[in-house]
Amino acid sequence: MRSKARLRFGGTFGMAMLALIAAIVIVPLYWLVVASTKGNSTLFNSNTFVPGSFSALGSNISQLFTVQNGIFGQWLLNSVIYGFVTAALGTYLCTLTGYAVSMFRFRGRAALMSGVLGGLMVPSTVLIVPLFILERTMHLTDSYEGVILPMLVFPFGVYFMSIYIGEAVPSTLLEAARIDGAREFQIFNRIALPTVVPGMVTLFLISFIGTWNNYFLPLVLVSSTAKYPLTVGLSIWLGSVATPGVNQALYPQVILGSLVSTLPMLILFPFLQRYVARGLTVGALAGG
Amino acid sequence: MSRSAKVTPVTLRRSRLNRPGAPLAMVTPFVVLFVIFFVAPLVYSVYTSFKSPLTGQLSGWANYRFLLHDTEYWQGLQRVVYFGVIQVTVMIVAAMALALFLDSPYCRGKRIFATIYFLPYAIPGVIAAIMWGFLFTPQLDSLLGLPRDFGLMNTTVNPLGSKLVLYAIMFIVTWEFTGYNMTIYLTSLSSIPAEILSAARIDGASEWQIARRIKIPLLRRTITFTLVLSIIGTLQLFNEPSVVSQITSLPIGYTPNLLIYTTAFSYGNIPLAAAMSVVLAIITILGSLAFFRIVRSREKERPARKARRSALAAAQSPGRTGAGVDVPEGSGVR
Amino acid sequence: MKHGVRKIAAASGLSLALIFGAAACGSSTSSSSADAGSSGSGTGGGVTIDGIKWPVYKGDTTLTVWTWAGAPQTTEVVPQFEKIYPNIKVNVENVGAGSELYSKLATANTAGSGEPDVVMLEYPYIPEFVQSKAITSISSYVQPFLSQLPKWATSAVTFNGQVYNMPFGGGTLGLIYRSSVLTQYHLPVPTTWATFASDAEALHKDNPNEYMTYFPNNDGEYVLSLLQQAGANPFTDNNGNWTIDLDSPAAQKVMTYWGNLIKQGDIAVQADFTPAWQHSIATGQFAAYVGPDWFPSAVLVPYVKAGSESFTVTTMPQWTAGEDVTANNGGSGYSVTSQSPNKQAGALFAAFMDLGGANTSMAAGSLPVVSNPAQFPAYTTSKGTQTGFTQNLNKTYQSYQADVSSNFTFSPWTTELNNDLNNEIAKAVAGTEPWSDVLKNTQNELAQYVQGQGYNVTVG
Repeated sequence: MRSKARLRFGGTFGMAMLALIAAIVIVPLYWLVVASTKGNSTLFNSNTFVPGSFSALGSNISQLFTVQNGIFGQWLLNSVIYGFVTAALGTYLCTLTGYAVSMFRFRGRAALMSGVLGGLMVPSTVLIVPLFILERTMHLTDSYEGVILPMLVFPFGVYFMSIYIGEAVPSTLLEAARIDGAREFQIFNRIALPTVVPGMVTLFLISFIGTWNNYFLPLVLVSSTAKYPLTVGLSIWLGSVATPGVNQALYPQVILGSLVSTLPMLILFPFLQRYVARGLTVGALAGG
Repeated sequence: MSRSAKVTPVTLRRSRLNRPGAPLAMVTPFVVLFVIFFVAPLVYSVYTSFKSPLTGQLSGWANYRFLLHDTEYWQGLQRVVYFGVIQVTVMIVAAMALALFLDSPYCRGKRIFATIYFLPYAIPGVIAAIMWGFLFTPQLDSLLGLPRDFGLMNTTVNPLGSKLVLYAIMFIVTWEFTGYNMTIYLTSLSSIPAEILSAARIDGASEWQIARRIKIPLLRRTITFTLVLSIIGTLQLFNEPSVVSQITSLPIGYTPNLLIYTTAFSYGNIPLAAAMSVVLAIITILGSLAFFRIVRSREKERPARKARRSALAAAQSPGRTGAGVDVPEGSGVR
Repeated sequence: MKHGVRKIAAASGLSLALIFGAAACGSSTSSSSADAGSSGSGTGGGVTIDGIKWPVYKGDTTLTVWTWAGAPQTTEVVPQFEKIYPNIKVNVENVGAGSELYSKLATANTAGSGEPDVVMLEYPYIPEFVQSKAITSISSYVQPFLSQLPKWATSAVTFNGQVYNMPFGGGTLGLIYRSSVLTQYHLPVPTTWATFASDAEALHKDNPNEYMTYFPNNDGEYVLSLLQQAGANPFTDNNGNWTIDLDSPAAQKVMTYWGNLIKQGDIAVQADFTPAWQHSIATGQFAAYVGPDWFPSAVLVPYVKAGSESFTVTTMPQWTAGEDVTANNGGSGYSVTSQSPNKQAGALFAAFMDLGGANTSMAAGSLPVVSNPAQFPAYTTSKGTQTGFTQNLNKTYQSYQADVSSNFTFSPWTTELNNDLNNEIAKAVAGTEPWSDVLKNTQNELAQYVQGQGYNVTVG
C-alpha cells in the first residue's frame, strides 16, 4: 500500500520534472520551427517566439529547393548517402571489432584498445591536412569514398561496442555454439549479432547523426559543390548572407534548411527506439 | 536460462576456439583503416610539429618552446578544466537521472520524451550560431527577461556578456549532450533482463532502490565510458565556443582546441598547431589515465559491491524458483 | 547503395581526370599558346567590348574556379566569357565564403596539389597567399587592363611590383543616413567627423534608445578601413622585411575619437553580422552607417521593413573640412593559383569578371571596380536605385572610387591582426584598458606572434 502511494507521488513529481526539462530542451527547437515560417525582414522585425505565416513558410520552402538551381536537394541526397553508408558500414565494423576485443584474448588486444582510446584523445583538427595530402596521393579527394573511408574509423564506436557487448552477450550461448562445432564468424553473425541489436541501433543512430553533422572533413576533402553534404552547403549559404547578389540565399533558407536537416533524425529516432527496448534480448534467449 | 552480467574472457580457453585466428581476422578491417586514416596522419602531424612555419625546414623544439610561453594556451586549458568540473558533473548526473526515470514504470510517454531529449544532438552546427544568437540576445529573446520580471534579478540576463558567456557555453553543451548520454544509458539499461527487475519488485524493492542497488552498479562500465568521453570532450572543447565566437566577442584562445583550429586554419601555422595538438593529446591521455586509475582503485575499495554482484549471479543460476534475489542489507524494505 | 557510390565515384574520378589530366596530355601545336594546360586548335577572343580589347587565346582548355559570388556573376557573366572564348570551359564551384575557401586553398597549397585554376580572394588576404606562394603573378597577362582600374585597386593587388589579383568587387565607403531621423532631431548632415560626433551626442541625449551608428567589436577590417581614411598605413613591405607602425598619430586620432564616443555612450558597440546587430538595423536603431557599396543590398534592403525607412548616401565624414578622402572596406578579386597549368586563361577570366561583366554588374546593382564607369552603357541607362533609396547608387559610389586612398598595404597576417585588434577593443570597451593603448598593444601582440613564426619584423 505504501509503495503504491509512493508510486503515484513519485510518478507525478517525476513526470512534472520530465515535462519541465523537456520544455527547456525544446525552446531552441521551437525557435527553429517558428523562424522557418518567417521571411527575411519579418525575422528581425517580430517577436522571436511568435509564429510567422503559412505563406512565408510556403515561399521559404519553394525558395529552399529552387535557389541556385535546386542544389539543396543534391546536398540533402549527399548527406543521406554519406550518413547511411558510413553508419551502416561503420556500425558493423565497430560491432565486429568490439566483439573481438571483448570476447577474446589475443595478442595485440591491449595495444588495439590503447590505440582506440588514443584515437579518442587526439584532437583531430590538425590531422585533416595530412589526411588531405594522403588522399591526394591516393586520388581519393573530391569523392564520396574519400569522405566515407576516414569516417569509418570510429574509435568511439569500437569502445562503446566493446563495453556494451561485454554487458549484453552471454558467453554461455557462444560456448554452446562452439560445442556444436559452429565457426567463429558464424557464431558472430548468427548468434551474437541478434543479441546486440539495441547497441547496434544506438551506435547506428549516433554514427548517422555524427556523419550527417560532420562539417570540417567534407569541407576540406571535397571541392565540388555537387558533392557537399548539407552542413557544408548551408554554411556556404550562411557565408553568402553578407554578400550582395541577386537570388542569394539569406537567413530563411539557412534556417529552414537546418530544420529540414533535423527531420531525418526526427523520423529515424522514434522508429529505431523500438529496437532499443528491454525484452528483445530476453526473447532471443528464450529456451536457453 | 543463465546469464552473467559481465563476461570474463578468462572463461574462454584458447584451445576451445574453433579458429584461433578468428579474432585477429575480425579486427583486421578496422586496424587497416585505422592505420591508414588515423595513425599515418598522426605521425605526419607529429613530424610537422618540428618544422618551422615560415621555411618548412626542421626547427627542433622551437614550436614547443614558443608554446611554453603562450599564456593564451595555458589559460584556455585552465578554463576547460574549470568548465569540465562543473559541466560534466551536472550533465552526467542529469543524464543518469533522466535515464533511470524513463526506464522506470513511473514514466509514461517514454518514447516521446526520449526523442525530445535526444533531439538537440541532431541539430546541425551550422544553425547553432544563428539559433543561439537569437536566443541569447536580450532584445530578441523575451525569456531572458523572466528572472527580472519575477524579481530574481534586476536586469535582463545577458548570456553573451563577458561575465556569463562561459556559463552560456556550459548551457549549450549540456543542452546538446545530456540526451545523448541519457540514450547511451538507456541502451545499456535495456540489456538488464526483466526477470531481475520484476523479481526485485516482487520482493518489495522500491524503484529508487532498484536504481541504486541494481541498475547503477550494472551500469558502472557504461558510466565510466561516458565520463571518460565527457572529460575528453571537455578538454577538446571546440564546436560550442566556435559557435559563440561568431555571435559575441571571444578571445581565440578561449579553449585550447579553438586556438589550435585558429592557428592551423586562420593563421596557416600548421606546425605550431601540430605542436599544440601533441601537447593537448598528452594532457588528455594523462588525465584519462589518472581517471582510470581512480576508478580502478574505487573498484578495489568496494568488496561489498562485488559480493552483491556474485550474489546476483548466484540468484540467476538455473533452478531458481522465484523470489529470492538478495536485496542487500539496510534497504529498509518491508 | 555501394554500387551507386562506385558509379558516382567513377564519374567524379573521370571529371577530375579531365580537369587535371589536361595538364598531362596537353601538347600545344600552336606556338602562341602560352598555357601548358591547353591543347587543340580552338581559338577565342580578339574582340573589343565597351572599349576594352580582349586578346586572342589559342587552344582548348578548362578552368576550375572557386568563388562565392552568385548571380549575376556566375549566372550571366561566366556564360558571356565562354561566348567570347568558346575554347575555354569554366567550371565554377562555390566552396564556401571567405575563411572556408582560404582553409581549403591553404591545405591544397601545403599538399602540393588540389588547387583550382582561379580563386576569389578578398584584398586583405592576398598578401598571405603571395607569401605562401599559393597564387602567382599575372602581371604579364593583365598589363593591358591595368589602366582600367582605379589607383587604389591596382595598389591593393600589387606586391613588389607584381600584380597578383584582378579586382572584381570593392567596398568604397560612404555615409548612409536616414534623413527623417536627422530632421526629427534637428541634426545637420555630418560632413566632418566633428559634426558627426556632435550629432551623435545630441541624438543619444534626445533619444536614449537610438544611436547615430554602431561600432563593431568584431570587425578588424572595418576598423582598418577607418584608419585608412585617416591616412594611416600600418604595414610596409621591403622585400620580405616588414615594418609595423600601427600606433601612428593618424591611427591614434581615429581610436581616440571612437573611444570617446563609446565611453560617453553615444555610440552603440555591437558585433556585426550577428542576429542582434541585424535586429538593431531592421528596427531602425541607428541613424547612419559608414557603409560601403555592398551595404544597402546586403544588410539594409532585405531586412528593413519595406517602405518604412528611406536612406541617402553621401560622402564619408572628413577629418579636415573640405577634403574628399574615403577608404575601402571589403571587396575581392580573382587570383590565379601557382598550381594552375592555365595561367593565361585564368588571368583572362579574372580580368573579364570585372571588366567584361561591368555592364551586367551595374545593371544588377553590384559595382565593378573601374576607373571610367561612363564607358559602360549600364552606367548611364540603369537606374541604380534600391528599395529605400532614391538616388542612383551606381553613380554615387562610383564617384567615390577616385577618392580612395591608395597608400595602403595589407599584411600577410590579416586574421592575426583582426583577432588581436578585436581583443584589445573588447578590453577597451569593457574599461579594463584605455583606448589609447589599443593600437600599441595590438601592435606588440602581433609583432611578437609573427616574429615567433620567423618573420623579420621591425616595429616602428
